[in-house]
Amino acid sequence: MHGMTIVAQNISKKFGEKTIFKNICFCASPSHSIAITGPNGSGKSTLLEIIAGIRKPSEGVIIYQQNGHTLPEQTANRFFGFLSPRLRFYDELTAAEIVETVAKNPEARKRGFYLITELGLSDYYHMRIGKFSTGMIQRLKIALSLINDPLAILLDEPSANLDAKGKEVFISFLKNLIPYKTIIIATNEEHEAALCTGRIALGS
Amino acid sequence: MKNTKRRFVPGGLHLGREIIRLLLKDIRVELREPNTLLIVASFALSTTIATAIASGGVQIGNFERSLIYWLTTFFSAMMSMSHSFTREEERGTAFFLHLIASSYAVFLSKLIFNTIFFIIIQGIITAAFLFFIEGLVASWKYFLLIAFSGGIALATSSTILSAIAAKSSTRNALFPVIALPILLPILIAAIHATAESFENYKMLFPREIIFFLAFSLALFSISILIFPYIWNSE
Repeated sequence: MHGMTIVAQNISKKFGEKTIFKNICFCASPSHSIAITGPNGSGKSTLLEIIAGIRKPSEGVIIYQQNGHTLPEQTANRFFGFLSPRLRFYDELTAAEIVETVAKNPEARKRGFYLITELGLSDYYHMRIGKFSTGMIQRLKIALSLINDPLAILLDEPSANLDAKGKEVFISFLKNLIPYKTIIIATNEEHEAALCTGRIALGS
Repeated sequence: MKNTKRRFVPGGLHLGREIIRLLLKDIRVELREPNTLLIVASFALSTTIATAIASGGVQIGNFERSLIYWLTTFFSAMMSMSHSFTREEERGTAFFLHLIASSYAVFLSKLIFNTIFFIIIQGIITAAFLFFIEGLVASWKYFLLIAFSGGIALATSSTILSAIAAKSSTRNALFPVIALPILLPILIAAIHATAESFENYKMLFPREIIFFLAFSLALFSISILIFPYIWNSE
């Protein structure tokens, strides 16, 4: 079993007086991946960050389980891979150094190099991030979200800034991972959402 | 992608590995763009040289020398330590840290980095001070011990204060404002103890060293308790 079960119970989020979303309930598992869709500002990214434990919900709880055991909330983020547009890297470091910083063990470092190669960045492995294009950074983010062989993968607009080849590689990665990992994608790309078995439409 | 068998890793070892990875990252970033180090070193050098020139070869009193030494150290701490967390927030890299490490690992790696960084800075300040400012040091052993323990107290307090200030929209202005009342007791004690080490050949073990270490330990304990709340606040 390589995935975790994420159970959301009545999740609501307010910023000040404004309610972004209310009473969201779902259960994501390796056999039940979820796409979160909705217009800009509907709270897709916020919901993903709540699932990852980066933000607190105004109401409701998220429960993380693996093999029937509940994981403590404060350690659950160790089991996530998260791709987010908010993610920024250090311009002074190279891709190899970012991989070393993120990789939790030597196997993860090897996997990082494999993913970087698959995503067409091997020639830029020792180049500083400051010289990367936005598309190259997005490819690096994809590699980093998978590097530690996470139990759950949270992807926020994963194909943003990718060219046709990049999108093709990413979709093939996703198709391979969906049966084994717990995947939640925030997207408005129909072909990405269609790969998931469940859907949460925010702002509707 | 090859699936590897998961191994049990004890929590402490996990934390240790996270700290080492973050510490290496901070060292690499600082070495690639050593702006902070250069700015603080320039400040230390220019302050001591300016003081030496202004005194016009007249020997300055021990208390005044101690005052100059610790004011230079204090303002160097203000300039360098404030960056530890504010830079992460300004660059947007704090989110990256949230994703890859626990709050304890983030705090401890920053604290270790700041302490090492500040010891280097203080080494530069001390060397410049001894070279340019004329005067004797009666008790070398205690002078260096006071400088070292006082420096650790400044680094420990500045790290948590930087984390608090980083969460504010007016972070650069806020840091010196909240730092002054907390660092003032260290500064006053350090000035008096250092002045005595300059003039007293038979100086007894200064109680200020115990004060600095106890202050650092108390602040470290409080920081460990409050940092996760500061770090995870939205």
